[in-house]
Amino acid sequence: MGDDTIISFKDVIFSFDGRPVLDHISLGINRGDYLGVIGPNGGGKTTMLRLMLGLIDAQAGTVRLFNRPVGDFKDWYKIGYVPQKATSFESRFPFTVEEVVTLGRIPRAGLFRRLGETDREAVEQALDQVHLLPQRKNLVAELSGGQQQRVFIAKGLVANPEVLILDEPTVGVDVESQDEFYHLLSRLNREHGITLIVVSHDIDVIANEVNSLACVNQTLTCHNDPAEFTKGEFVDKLYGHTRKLILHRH
Amino acid sequence: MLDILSYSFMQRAFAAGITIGLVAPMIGCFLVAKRYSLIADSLAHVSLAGVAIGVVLAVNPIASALVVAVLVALVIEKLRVSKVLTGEVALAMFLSSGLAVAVVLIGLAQNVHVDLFSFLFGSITTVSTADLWIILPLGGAVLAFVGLLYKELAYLAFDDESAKVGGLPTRFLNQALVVLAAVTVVLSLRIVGGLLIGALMVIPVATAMQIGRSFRQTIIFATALGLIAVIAGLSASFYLNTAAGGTIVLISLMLFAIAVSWRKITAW
Repeated sequence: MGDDTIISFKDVIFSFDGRPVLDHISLGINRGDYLGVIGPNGGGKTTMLRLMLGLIDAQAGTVRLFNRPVGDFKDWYKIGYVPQKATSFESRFPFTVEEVVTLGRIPRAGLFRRLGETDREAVEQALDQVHLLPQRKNLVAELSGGQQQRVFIAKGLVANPEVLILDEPTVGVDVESQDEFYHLLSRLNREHGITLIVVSHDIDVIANEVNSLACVNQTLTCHNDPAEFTKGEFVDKLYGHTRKLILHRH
Repeated sequence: MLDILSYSFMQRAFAAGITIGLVAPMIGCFLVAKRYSLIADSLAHVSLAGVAIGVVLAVNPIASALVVAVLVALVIEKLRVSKVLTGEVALAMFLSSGLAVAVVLIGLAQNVHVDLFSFLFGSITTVSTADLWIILPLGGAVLAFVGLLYKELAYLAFDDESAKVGGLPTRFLNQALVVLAAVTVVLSLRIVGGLLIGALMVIPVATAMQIGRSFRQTIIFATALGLIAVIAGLSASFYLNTAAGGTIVLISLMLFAIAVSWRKITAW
């Protein structure tokens, strides 16, 4: 794995309650990659994500972020995290769009330090990037699913991360907003060089967008060419049954 | 109106009351946002056990309640994190155990006259100067802590996991929050009592959520509403000769009803 490898898994094993979830996973994610992580439910793709984010520890093997073991990693502002919208926040408590995105600046600012002008400008820029500047004072709970997702993306981007990790980002988002969302991701990767890792169950769409695929079902199969993956038999192998793919071309 | 303040016990009651009127809803906001407001009632019952222990050991019952409540708060948090018990079950167990310990100990301490009733429901005539030496500095410390770590606590309230991924010391912050809750509960024992403190930590927050248009605004409103309820409640209880704790909570409920009606009317 070269200097460009910013996230790596080496022989990672993870079990839960005695049941194996991930078995000898090895993977290198390079700077500028746009990686889709797909696989059946319970196959371990969310577990892989949580290992990357330091939320859980592997029983064996190493997970490294920017060449440091994840347990020793301190520069969390380099990682933007967009959690699954549905489970991630108490929607009834009033938080404005601006307040939520501002939370994303805290990793940059550090404990005890007040947020300043740079932070406020970064929040404005992030909101502008996702076209939510007019809604900055609105309550997040009052927005549509697609708009809420954009708030979380802005929050993930506001600290100017090098990597953006998204967990099932299009759940509860209408199709039109999904299109807009993937355009935004594409721009972030191509124009701003941000490394993207997207966990999705929506393989039809994701295979079309990413430049590499990691297919997880306890073990890992990687295909650098998503087009090759969609040719059929890999899908069956991954999901364990015949599945017809419908590809949407933009 | 000024004759109410000419009584030294009322001066002390207002000093203590204003402190908790500010602190209780402020901490309540973070607990409600995390859907953890039930911890207030559990800690209140545990603090009653602390009071009983203090009576038996012949020390200031507020001081002993503080030690017990803070320790148990940390234990509850440890149980929650290690998933030994689900949050709900742990809280329910401590809630009933706390009161059971209090009742048994008070019964055993036969040669000491202690009015457990005053700690259950509050009794503004019993706020001593010694109590104020505990309540005012600690109340100020809670406010200062929240002021210093506001943005971190807000992140924790919004999404614990994202806060952790962002590199925040969430274990410390969660522990700090339950300790702040324990301190707040104990500070309130004299004024509203252990059975009603939960209400003072939740109702003004619920009211503020009806009218607040941001997290910051909600905290400001909740604190203001807590203050209004305490000042109005203490004054009303003085003139009407009603229980102070109950009066404060009833005024909180009235404010909630007004906010809900206001929201419905302005929605037309």
